[in-house]
Amino acid sequence: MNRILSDIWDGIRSQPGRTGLSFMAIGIGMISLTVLLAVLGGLRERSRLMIKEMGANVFAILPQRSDTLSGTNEIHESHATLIASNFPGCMVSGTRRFQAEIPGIEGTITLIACDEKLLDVRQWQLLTGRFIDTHDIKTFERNVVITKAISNTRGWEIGQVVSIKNEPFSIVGILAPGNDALETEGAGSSISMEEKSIFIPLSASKLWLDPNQGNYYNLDTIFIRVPETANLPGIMSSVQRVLTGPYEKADRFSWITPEVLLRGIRRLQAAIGFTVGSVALLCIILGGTTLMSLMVANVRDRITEIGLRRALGATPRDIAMLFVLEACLVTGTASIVGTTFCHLILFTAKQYLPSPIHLDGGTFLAPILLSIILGIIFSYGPAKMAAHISPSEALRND
Amino acid sequence: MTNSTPVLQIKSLTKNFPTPDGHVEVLRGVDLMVERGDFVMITGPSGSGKSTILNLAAMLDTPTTGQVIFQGRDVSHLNDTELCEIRKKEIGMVFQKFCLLPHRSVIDNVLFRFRYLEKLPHDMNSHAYDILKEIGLENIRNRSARLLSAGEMQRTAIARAVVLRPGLLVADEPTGNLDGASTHTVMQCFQKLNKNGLTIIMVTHNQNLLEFCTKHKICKEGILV
Repeated sequence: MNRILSDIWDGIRSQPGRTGLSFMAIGIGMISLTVLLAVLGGLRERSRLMIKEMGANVFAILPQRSDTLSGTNEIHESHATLIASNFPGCMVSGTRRFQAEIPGIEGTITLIACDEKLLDVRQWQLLTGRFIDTHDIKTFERNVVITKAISNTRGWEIGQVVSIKNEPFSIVGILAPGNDALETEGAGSSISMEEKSIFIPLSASKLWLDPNQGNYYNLDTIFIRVPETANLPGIMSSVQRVLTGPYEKADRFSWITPEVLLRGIRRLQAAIGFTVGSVALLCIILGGTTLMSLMVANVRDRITEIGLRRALGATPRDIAMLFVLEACLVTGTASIVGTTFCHLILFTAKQYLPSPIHLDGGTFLAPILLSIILGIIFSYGPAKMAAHISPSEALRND
Repeated sequence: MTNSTPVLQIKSLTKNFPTPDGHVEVLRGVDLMVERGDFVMITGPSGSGKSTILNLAAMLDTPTTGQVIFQGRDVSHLNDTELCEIRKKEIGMVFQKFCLLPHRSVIDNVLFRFRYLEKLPHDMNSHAYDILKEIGLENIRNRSARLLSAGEMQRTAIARAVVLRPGLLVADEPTGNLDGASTHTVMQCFQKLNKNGLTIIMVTHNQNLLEFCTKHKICKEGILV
């Protein structure tokens, strides 16, 4: 092994400029490839989390987005009741969102008015205390459940009475934060729990509404969890039929399924795959061709050395191996340096980047493996050329 | 092989090279016998086929017809791998261009002779030191080869060629790039090695070197006389 490494090191030292160029091109190519793999991995991870948060057997009904909002595309509490009574095997929960400002917390907080079934439907993790229960709903109790982020920011604990929109509420539970899901196509933020959210009983939220206004019974979202053994598309189709009145159509609502949630991410994956993938491919081809020209020039410059090696007993295979291994060492080292550098940068800066980043052994090893394969492919021709040089020709004195 | 077996026998050797205008006959029936301990010098005009004879003797090439018998074994029709095996252990070569690895030291260049041996001798370092001492380079053994004078480079190349104690040393114009003083030093090296039993075939243009050889052949239009 030492003998081979010495030989390769000799070859690299004899052409430092060309080796450096090839090293740089392959390194940049592998940085691009690492970015591509990390971003695609991040999006894949995000998809998985979104499905996990939404639930594989959950779908949501939202009012159709429209610039001219009218009564026909609103969702009411009666719709949730209608679905729950027609589909007793399903868990149904309606929510309505409000915005509030809490002193000591930057920005606006989302108040999620919900019934007692929301936790079971969404299967979020309750860290401590309890969630809104039937008693809270029936008796208009001013109890709230807060997220861990709010508890940490304000130091609020269970049992503490806090002021929300100038009304006193008692904290009864703390929830784990939801994932920071991407804004999903057609859903906005209506279906995800934001990091800083407060859950209040749907009945208690009426105190901020005027019973005489038309939106008093409106909901923002209805979530439906179907049994795991049930057919989700079949149930969704039945729910659509139930909601279709003689003068109304089911398509006045947005129907959010796990598949719809992933549509945006898949589009993003395709766009990133195409753009970053093109750059990575170009860099790799550029690096490969630079490497190939380096190897051809190397062979031409080292014909006498090839002759010497043949004179000392090297077989054509030994000569070919020398050039292939030299190329693999250049590409492999360039890849290790580029990939490590890229991992360090992405790991340090990932929270500031606009796209999710996922780094693991695969994002590190795949570029290195690819670079070694490239090294073999692009050096094969020059190595074969070197192996076929006749020793007597190589040692001619002209 | 006995002591009386010639190191090298060349019989009715011909060598043709293909060109776009057809085959060119470079050697036209060469005969040569090299006994153990001979110092054979081949001279002749350019293009007469001297280097081709040397390449065939060193098994860097194969003849078109005829026989090359090395230490009693006909090597004319051996394949490339078999020829490599013989070159690896039995043939030492010295070239006009020295062919040193410029980034390696003198001793590393000498040790490069062992590069393609499957099993490295445990005492190769002491062998290399001994041969450098014999040739007078032991004091500069750690100097980089690119910093040597031409004469030192050629003596390093000689040390590399003989460190494995080959059966035959072939030298192709070894003094072609050297001045008078260096030529003399290098030739003294060859003579010393020859007196220690090494068999040498050398090709040269320099008629003044004939005093060092034990046999002289002239190559003329593809024939040795």
